[in-house]
Amino acid sequence: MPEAARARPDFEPDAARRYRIRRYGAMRVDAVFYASSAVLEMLEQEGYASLGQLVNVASLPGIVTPALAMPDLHWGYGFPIGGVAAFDPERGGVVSPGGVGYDINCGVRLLASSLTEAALAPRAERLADALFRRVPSGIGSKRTVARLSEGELERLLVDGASWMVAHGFGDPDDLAHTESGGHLAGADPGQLSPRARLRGLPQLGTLGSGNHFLEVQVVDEVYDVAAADAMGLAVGKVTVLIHTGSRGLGHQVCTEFVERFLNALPRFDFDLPDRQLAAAPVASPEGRAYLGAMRAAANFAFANRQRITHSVRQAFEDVGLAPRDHGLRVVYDVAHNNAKLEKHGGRTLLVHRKGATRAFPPGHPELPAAYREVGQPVFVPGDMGRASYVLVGTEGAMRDTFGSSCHGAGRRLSRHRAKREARHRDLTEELRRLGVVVRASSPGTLAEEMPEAYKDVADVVDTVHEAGIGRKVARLRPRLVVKG
Amino acid sequence: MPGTRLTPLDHTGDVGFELHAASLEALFDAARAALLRELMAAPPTAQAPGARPAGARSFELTLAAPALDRLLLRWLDELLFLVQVRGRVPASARPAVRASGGPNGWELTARLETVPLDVRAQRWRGEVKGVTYHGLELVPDDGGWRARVVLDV
Repeated sequence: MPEAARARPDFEPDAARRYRIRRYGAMRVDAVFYASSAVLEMLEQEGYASLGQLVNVASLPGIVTPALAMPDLHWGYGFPIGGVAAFDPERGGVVSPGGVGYDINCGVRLLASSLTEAALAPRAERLADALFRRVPSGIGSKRTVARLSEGELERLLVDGASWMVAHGFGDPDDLAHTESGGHLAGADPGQLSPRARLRGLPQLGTLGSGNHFLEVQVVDEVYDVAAADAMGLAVGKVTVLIHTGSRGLGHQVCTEFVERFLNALPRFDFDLPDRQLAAAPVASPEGRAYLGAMRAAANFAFANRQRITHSVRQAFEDVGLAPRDHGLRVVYDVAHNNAKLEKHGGRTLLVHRKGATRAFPPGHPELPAAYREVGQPVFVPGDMGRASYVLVGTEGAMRDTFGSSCHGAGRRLSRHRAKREARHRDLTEELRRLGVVVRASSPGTLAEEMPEAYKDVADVVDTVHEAGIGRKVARLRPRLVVKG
Repeated sequence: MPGTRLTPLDHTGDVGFELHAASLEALFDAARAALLRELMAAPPTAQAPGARPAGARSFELTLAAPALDRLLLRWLDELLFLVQVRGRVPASARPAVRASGGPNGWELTARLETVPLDVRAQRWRGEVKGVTYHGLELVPDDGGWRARVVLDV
C-alpha cells in the first residue's frame, strides 16, 4: 500500500538507539530516527516504507536539520506517524496539514485520584457502565452531550478548555495543568467552513472510535519517585487516561486545507514527493489561514477533553464517590498531533508533531510550576491489556528532538487481520481474566483494538528512556476500558 | 456489478481498497459501496423497483475537480459527510462522470437513493476521519479503470 521508497535507505547508528540517514537526492537535511532491534525488524518487514516517508519530509522547504521519527514510528499518510519536523518561517519554512494529521491536537489527559484499587474493585462494573453512559462515542451513539449554539462554538474555538471551565465544566486548576493552558492563541474560527462546524457541533464531549479510549487504571510501578510525587502518583492509586482529539471538526479542517494547498501549489516554488505532504509557506496567506484554522480545531480538542473530564467526574459520583472521595484532578493534558511555534536554538520554528509528544525539560518556562523541577509529563498509552506509561521530558529531548518524545505503541496487526484472529474468541472474557472490565460500542471495535493488535509499548518507552529523550516515571495498568 | 473487483488493502496503519471496473460510472459506484463497507458491516443495498423503505429520500449531487482521482476523493468525502453528519446512507447511486473542460476539468452528477443511518441494523463499525491523498490513484487499466484509495480511520 505505501507509495514511499521501498528500497532500504542507507542508515547508520549515530548514538544510543539512534540512527541517521545522511542527506541524499532531494533531501534538504539529514533524517534521524530512534529504534530498538524490534523496531528495526518491523521497519524491514514493512519494506522501509515509513523511512521513505521520513526521507520525503526531509525534502520539504525550510526544514531545520534533522527530520525526525520517534521509536513508535510507522507508516502514515505523507508524514510517518511518530514524525517530528521543524521549519524556519524566516527561511521559507512550510506548514503541512498532513504533518499535523486529520485528528488535529489529538492527545492524552491523565487524571489522578485519591482512590486506591481496593476502593475501585467493588464498583468496577457499575463505574464502567456509568463511564460508557456519560461519555458517548459519537456518530450513531444514542447517548448525547448538550449541544452548543453557533455563538457558543465561536467562543469555544478561541478559548478552548477555558470556555468549558468558565461554564462549569471543570476547575481553573485543570487549565493550569494542560499544555498551553488548554488554548492556543491565534485561533481564527473564521477560517472554518460551515461543514467543519456542522461536523463538530454534535461531537463535543465524545470519544470517537478507532484507537480512542477512556481507561481507569492503577499505578503499579514507580521508576522516579520525585517526578511521581510531583504528579501525585503512587503505587496502588487509581488514575484515568483520556485519549481523543478534535473529532469531525478537525478532520474536516485537514481535508479542506490539503485540497486548498494542492490548488495553490503551482504558485509555490517547490515540488511534492507525495500529495498528502501538501504544504504552504508559513508566511503565505494559505499558511496563515491553515494555522488559524488548526489552532481553532486544537482549542476544540482541548475543550473536548475538558468536557469529557467533567463527564468522568460525574460518572464517579454516579457510583457513590463524592468529589472529596474521588479527588479527581488533572495531572496534565498533552497533545501529539499539532504544529506549534517554539523557540529552539535562538530561532522561532514551527514544530510539527504527528504522533509525537512535546517533552520539554525541567526548568522550561512553559511548564506549570508543579513540574518546573521534574520536567513536562509525557503520557504513552499502550494497549487495553498491558500498560501505559508516564514519562517526563529531558534536556536530551530539547537538544536532539526539538523537545519531543514518543506517543504510543503502534499497531502490529492490520484491522482486518485483528478481526480474523479475534474470530471465535470472547475478548471481553479474556480481558476480564486479566483484571480488565471493558465496554465497547461494537464487538468489531473490540477485535480491532485487542491487545495483540499492538506492539508492546514497553519496548518503545525503554528505547526513549535509553536514548535520553524521555525518562520513565510510572507504569499504569488498565482496570476499566471504554472504547468508542 | 459484473466486471467490478474490490480488493481491500490490509495495512497495519489503516484501511483502504483497490477497485477495478469496466467504466468510470461502475468504479465510482463501487467506491461508494466499498466506503460503506468500511463504515458498517451490513450496509443497505438498492431496493427493488417500486419498493421504498421508511425514511427513504433521493436527491441529485454535482461535484467537480481538476483531475479524475481528485474527483473520486471529493465523491467519497461527500458521501462520508452525508453518512456521518447528515445521517443519510446512500444505498444506491447512479453516478455519471464526464470531462467538462476548464480548471475543474472533471464533473460528476449522481442521483442518490438514501435511507436513514441505523447503527444497530446496519451494524456500525466506526468513523472514518478522512479520505487521504496518500497513494490515491485512478488510471485506465486493461480496457477499464483502476483506483486505489486509503482512508484515515
